[in-house]
Amino acid sequence: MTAGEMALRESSEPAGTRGPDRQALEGPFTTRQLLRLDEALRTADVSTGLTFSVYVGDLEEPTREHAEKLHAQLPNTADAVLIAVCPNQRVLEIVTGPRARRRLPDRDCKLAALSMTAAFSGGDLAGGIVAGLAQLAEHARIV
Amino acid sequence: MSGPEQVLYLVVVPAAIVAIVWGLASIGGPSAKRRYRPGRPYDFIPVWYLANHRRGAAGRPGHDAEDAAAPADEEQPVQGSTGGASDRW
Repeated sequence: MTAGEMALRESSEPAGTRGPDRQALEGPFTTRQLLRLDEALRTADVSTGLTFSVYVGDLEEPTREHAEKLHAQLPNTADAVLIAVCPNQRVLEIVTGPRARRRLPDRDCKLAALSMTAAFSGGDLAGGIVAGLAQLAEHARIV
Repeated sequence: MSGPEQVLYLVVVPAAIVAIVWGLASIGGPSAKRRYRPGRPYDFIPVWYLANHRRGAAGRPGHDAEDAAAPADEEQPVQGSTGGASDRW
């Protein structure tokens, strides 16, 4: 991703509708990792028709409810899939909208979560997210 | 080889090489700080990413197909609860 391909905001609203954002380069990822993440997000969206989103930052307790609140702010919530990663609390939350859930059952999300946390425990945030996105997209792929 | 020369070749030169390598490693590159290490504080700003489809002229085939197949369904609020999974590491 150049910063314009994907954007970010510090507040509790997703980006993606903004132009280039220099803050994207101040996050936890290198430019190369951001490019991989952007490619993974775009591929997942295009191949499934769902809206994938990735949040990396602190989550308030209870983390599940906070992740669901973030998910509710996404456009096209029913088809949205939010991957929320909180490195400080070492928590991963995957939230699927009602329609996305039909394509991505909780069991498939759990499998993706397992592979993601395996990468996170080795310190590979970007690799875990990219692998998780690919796995989720594979399960939800339009045949 | 005289005593001072031995000291120079066997002590000073290796020490200088070690010091240079240590100095370069401690400085690190621009990406040295952008590294998450489990157990260490994570003090980056929160980031939230969405794919930007405006650059893709091809659009989103999945959505196009879905919209064409069931346009009425898009307008109705979707009933049901959210799903997903939680995990820790």
